[in-house]
Amino acid sequence: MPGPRPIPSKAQPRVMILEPMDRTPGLAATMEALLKRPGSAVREFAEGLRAGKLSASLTTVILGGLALFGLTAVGFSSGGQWWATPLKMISGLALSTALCLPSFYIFSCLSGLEISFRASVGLLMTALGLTGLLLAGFTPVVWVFSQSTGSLVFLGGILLAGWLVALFFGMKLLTSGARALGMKDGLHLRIWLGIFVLVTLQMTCALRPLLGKADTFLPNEKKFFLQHWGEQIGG
Amino acid sequence: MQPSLFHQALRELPVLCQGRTERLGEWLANPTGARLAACAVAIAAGGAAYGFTLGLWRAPLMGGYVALKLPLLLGLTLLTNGLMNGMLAQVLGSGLSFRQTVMAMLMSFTTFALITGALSPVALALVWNAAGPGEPGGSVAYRVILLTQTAVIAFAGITAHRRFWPVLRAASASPRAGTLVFLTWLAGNLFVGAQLSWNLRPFFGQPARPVELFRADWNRSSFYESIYKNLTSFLP
Repeated sequence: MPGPRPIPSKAQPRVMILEPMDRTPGLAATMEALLKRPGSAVREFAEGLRAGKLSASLTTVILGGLALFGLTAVGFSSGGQWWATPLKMISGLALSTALCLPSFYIFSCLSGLEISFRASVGLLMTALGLTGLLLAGFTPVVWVFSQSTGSLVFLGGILLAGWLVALFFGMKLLTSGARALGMKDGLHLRIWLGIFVLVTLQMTCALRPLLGKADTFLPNEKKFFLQHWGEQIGG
Repeated sequence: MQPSLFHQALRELPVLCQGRTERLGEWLANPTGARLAACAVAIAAGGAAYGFTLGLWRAPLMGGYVALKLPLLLGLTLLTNGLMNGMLAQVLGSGLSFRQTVMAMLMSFTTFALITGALSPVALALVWNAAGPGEPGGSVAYRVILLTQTAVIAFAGITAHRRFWPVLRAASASPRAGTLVFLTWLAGNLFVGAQLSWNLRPFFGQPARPVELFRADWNRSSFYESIYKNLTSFLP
């Protein structure tokens, strides 16, 4: 007698499917692809078909997401910070990406990925695109907190948590994409992820203040981020 | 050597990091002039880029000195150990030729230079964000940089060597001979590399000492004597 039929799962498969993108990668199609079918964006870059158009859309998503995320903190800050915070967030991510891009390519190779440098840039952009999109989605929540508290440490913590959650999903997409492209050993890519996260966290200190008032646009004193956070929390 | 072959060899360099035994074996079996030149360029460029970040915290001039010294250290270790490793590979019955052994070492050192070179922008950012010598927090920064750079070098060294173990096993007459060649190669590189880095010091540059290309006493002691002296200083 046959056993009960398994219930069909509606959960998304764990392995990313590198399906073709059915529409021209404009802004709306790119955002939809990032959320529903990220494998299609990864495939576009791997095959280099409409990489230019997709890059432009992803750049818009990343810049827009970070700018929105930064603007939510403006209500908390004052003075010239209304433009400085979004600018610093965008610059921080751009700098972190530029600093870590060479090591991303080499660590991808160490993980057994056989892709071109251009395809690796595309994979990273796709991951950062999802991060930017999620940051944009978090802005109403962050805005509520920015209007509700006067504590710099608390709002800093909220922004940091939002950044880490968005980055987590972006980096999850990165590892899934790398696996779909033939990654054999994920250890080196995970090490790189750790380095990238540390670099982005250091940017919160190197470009301080992201929140609150400041006499100068950039700090005069050099510090590591843990030291800076410790001083802020300690009052 | 044709420029097109050299450019092709340069484009193939990521193969060294990907660690596919068959592709690396193909490099080992055909050590062409273009591939040797591409490896030499990668060692010079990657070593110089990372070397600069090693010395930069002490002073930009120190960074310049170490940019010269790190590729020199890699080259000298290769030259010093090349003859010995080539002979040992044959004595241990691996069936690898002298040229193939040197090529394997060169490929491993190239992988090291590619990893450290790729991490040099991050290392540069670390130094850039650290308090300088004599500034508040400078001593903490020195320790953090020293530990981080040592960890990066150790990671790159282990990864670069480990990558070639399966290749040597596959290319040797027997897996056992390949493993023995790998172990002697590793031991030799560590033993001689430590001494040569001692001779070529300073690399990080201690804050209290002057910026200099080489120490005045560069040839008056060995690395191992200094370890022995340090250990015996703890004894009553």
